[in-house]
Parts: sequence; C-alpha cells; structure tokens
Amino acid sequence: MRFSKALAVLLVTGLLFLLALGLGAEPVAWGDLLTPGTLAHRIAFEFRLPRAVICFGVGAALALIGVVYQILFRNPLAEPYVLGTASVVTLGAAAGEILFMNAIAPPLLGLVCGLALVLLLVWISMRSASTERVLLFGMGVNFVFSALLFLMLSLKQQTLGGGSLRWLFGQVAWPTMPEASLVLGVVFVGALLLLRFCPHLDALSFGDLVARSLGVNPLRTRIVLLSLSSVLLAWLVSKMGTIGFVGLVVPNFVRLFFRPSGAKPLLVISFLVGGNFLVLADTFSRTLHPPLEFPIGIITTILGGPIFLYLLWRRETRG
Amino acid sequence: MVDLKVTALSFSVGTRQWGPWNFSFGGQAIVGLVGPNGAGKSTFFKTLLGEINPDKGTVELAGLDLAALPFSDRRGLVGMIPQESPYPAEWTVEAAISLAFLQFGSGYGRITPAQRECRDGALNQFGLSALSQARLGELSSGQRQRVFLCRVSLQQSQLLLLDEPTNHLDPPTRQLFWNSLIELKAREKGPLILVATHDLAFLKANADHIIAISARGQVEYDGKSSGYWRPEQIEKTFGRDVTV
Repeated sequence: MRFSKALAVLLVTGLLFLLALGLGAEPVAWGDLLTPGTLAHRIAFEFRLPRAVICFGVGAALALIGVVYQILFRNPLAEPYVLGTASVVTLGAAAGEILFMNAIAPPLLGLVCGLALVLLLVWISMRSASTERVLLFGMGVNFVFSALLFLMLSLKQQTLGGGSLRWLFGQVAWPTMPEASLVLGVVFVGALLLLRFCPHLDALSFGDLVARSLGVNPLRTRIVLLSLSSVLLAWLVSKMGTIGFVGLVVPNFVRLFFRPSGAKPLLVISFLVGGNFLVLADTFSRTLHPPLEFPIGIITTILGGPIFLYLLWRRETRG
Repeated sequence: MVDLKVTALSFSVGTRQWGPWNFSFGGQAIVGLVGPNGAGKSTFFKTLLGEINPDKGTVELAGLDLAALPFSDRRGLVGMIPQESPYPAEWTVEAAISLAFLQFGSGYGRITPAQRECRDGALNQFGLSALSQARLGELSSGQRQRVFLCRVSLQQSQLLLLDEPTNHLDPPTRQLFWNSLIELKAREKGPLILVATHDLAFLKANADHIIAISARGQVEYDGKSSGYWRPEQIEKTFGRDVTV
C-alpha cells in the first residue's frame, strides 16, 4: 500500500510536469514536444520546464515550512501566511526593494523582520499553554502588516498590477534553467537539513514535556528550525512574493490521505505533494485566460481554500 | 536503588508560588502525590523536567542534581505522561511506542531486532498487540493512555511521572490502566513511580508512600501510605471532609 501510494505520487508528478510543458499561451503540438529543434520543444524546455522546476521547488519549500510550523506551534492551522510571518517578511522585502533597489536588501530586510516575529511567536507559545493564543496573535499581526504593505505600495503610487500584485499574491517570472535549478537545489539542501531533525519533531509531536523526557530541547529545536524556515521563506518571498495556503493545505492533506507515522514520511510526502501543487497552480494561472497570467497566490488560494474547508469538515465529522 | 530527594524546593509561575518543599522517597515504589487543584502538582512535574526553573532548592535523582544536568544526560532518567498532551492522530500505535527508542540514540527509523522484540513484548504485555497498526486517533482515551504507558515503560526511566493519567477514563478502563501500572512496578528493575491523581481509592490500596500538598502549596504529609488515610489528615490536605 505504501509503495502503491509512492508510485502514484511519482506518476502524478510526471503527469503534471507533462501538462506544464504542453499547456500554455502558445499552443504546441504534443507530438513535437520531445523532438529537438521544433518550436514546441524549445518552448517546452527553454521556458516552461525551468518555470515548472522553480514552482516545484517553491511549493515543496512552502509545504515543508508548513509542516515545521504545525508541529512546533502545536496547531494544524499554523503556517507562515496565517501566523503573519509571510506578511512581515513581504513588507520587509518590499521595503528593501523600494528603499535600496538592489538584489540583497529585499531578502535581508525580509529575513530580519521575519526572524523578529518568529522569535516573538516562539516566546508567546512557550509562555502560554493554549495553542490558540499564538494563532490569534499571528492573525492580528497579519492584518496590521498587510495593511502597512498596502499603505506602502499606495504611497509609492504603483498601480495595482505588475510589481504590487507580485508582493501581494506572488508572481512567477520566467526563470532560466540555472536560476530554477538553484532554487530547487537550495530547497533540496534545506529539506536534507530538516530531515536530520525528524527525531526532534517526532518527540515534540507529543508535547514539550514528553520531548524533554526523551532528551529533546524544545526551545533550541524551535529556534533552530524556525530560523532555518525563516531564511528559506525570506529568500523565496523576495523572489516570488507571498504565496498563501500551500503550507496549510499540503501537510494537512498528506496527514489525512497518507497518514504518515512520523515526521520523516510526512516531510518527504509533503515535499512532493507541495511541489506538485504549485506546478498545477502555475499551469492553471497560465492557461485559464491566456495570454493573461494570474498571480499564482490567487490560484493557490482558490484551489487551496475549498480543499482546506473539506479537510476541516472531514476532521469534524470523523471526530 | 533510585531515590528522589527534594530539598528546600520552591518554584513559581507568575504570581503563584509553591514551597519550600522537603521530602524524599525511593526504591521500587508507587508514590502518590495528592492535593487539591492548584496545589502545584503539575508545576512540580514541569520543574522535574526542567521546563520551569526552581526559585530555590534542589531536586536530586539518584544523587544527580536535575536542574544542573545537560539535556543529553537527562535521557532515560525521567519518563513522563503529562495530563493533557497533544498526539499525532495519524500515527500507528507501533510508531508511537517506538518513539521510546529515540532516547537511546538509535539511527532514526531504524530500530534493532532486539528493540523490535522488546517492543512487541511490551505491546503484548499491555494488551495492545491487536492494535499495533491502529491509528492513535482511532483509539479510545483508555487505550491511548495504555499506549503512552507502554512507551514510557520502554524508555526504562528510573523515575516515572504520571499526571492525572486516569482523568477521563471510566471505572473499568481506569482499573485496567492501574493494573498495568502495578505490573510495571512489580517488574525486575521496575521504576520509581510518582503519580499525581485524585483517585484516592487506588492510592489507598496500592501506594507505598504519600506526599500530600495543601491548597496553599505546602507539604502536609510525607510518609508511608498506611499512615495517611485518617479522615482528619485528608481534611487537612483538601480543606474538607473526604471519604475514601
């Protein structure tokens, strides 16, 4: 059963990549896709493949960050988007771009802001027995900083298109293959690092006291893993803006559908499903109304929202 | 033989303060920690696990100062079943029990054949063999508590802390849980068990030692269980007459 599900995930990955290569504003003949020298082949492999690769990397990363947040904040609804770290990072990154106009300032400023908030959230979660307080605090932060982001973008008098939309809902540019590979590679290394912490995540799934009795330091684990997540998040947001819901929907979907017994299978499957989810979302964003491209964050929210509601409903009815 | 020695221990959360506490006990025993809600029982457990730093005083387990121990050295010393702990509902019983081997630093996800044998034996002992592939979320709360007890027994800790383990259990399930605990104590090299519970009938029948804490957070009684159960003594602990 485990192998058949793993096989299914791989098949779906292949199928989604095929769709991502074949579908788009410019119709291509499916038969020419694999024939070098044809226009279809060039479009598929020089443009659409790098884009699918970068989407896979970003989706996988967001799903992994979601898993980490949910275990460490002890709440299945925790995610950078919900807890406000995404909007704080976005505000920092957007401010960095507007104020300094170079490549280093956005991720750096985003990281500083994101780290500050994440450490504050850790402090709150360690002081309060209730897991809801962190969630509500994060949602409040999200409202305030989203409004500040709107304010800043309005003051710059940017029209609601292009630059602004990218920050608010995420936008995938057309990357070159080296750029896309770099993103996927970094995410892969991050995932490997994260796998080393599986025992810690497993112990913390049963609460701080049990983790302590097993020799795991809850505070140190939280600070290390959430800092690592923030670095990844800041870098991705400064590249693509805010893409919501992936970190929320994917791990919950994986838990319900694959029922992994442990952080390791949860992370591995979430990596694959998250990557696929964003590849699918991007294919939608390019093909719904060509040649117009919708911001990918809008698609993930429209696709993810109902899935999230379904998961909630199933959770409720199953007790 | 393991012993726990609490010396002039005081601890606090916010404006709430407890202590100073002085008591010691040891051996292969069940020690009952009784007292009204708010007497500081759960907070004391958190202090033992280092989640709360004591304001003053020390706790020594087998001669080791618990507060001064680095994390890695605390492994295997204290096992814990908290009052209300989260659990991943999608995990199998088998996986939840294998968590115990984490503290032995075995390669992740790879348990040795000896450990597997040990685990299967424990599953059998706690009447969980048929449920080994069931998911934690599908179990009744009584079954789940037995899973946690099974895990903690595999941790082979010297001191076992149980915080209201039978809180939400109906009487037969509660009895089943207590029976497993008594069997655990009777084992060769069984642990020292400290259990905070309001099930006074169980303690009266099975505890070797009683520590009673009053609502003001003071130690009211520290001694053999047999000497505790006079009505006036219980009234001193709980502030009112309780029949056991």
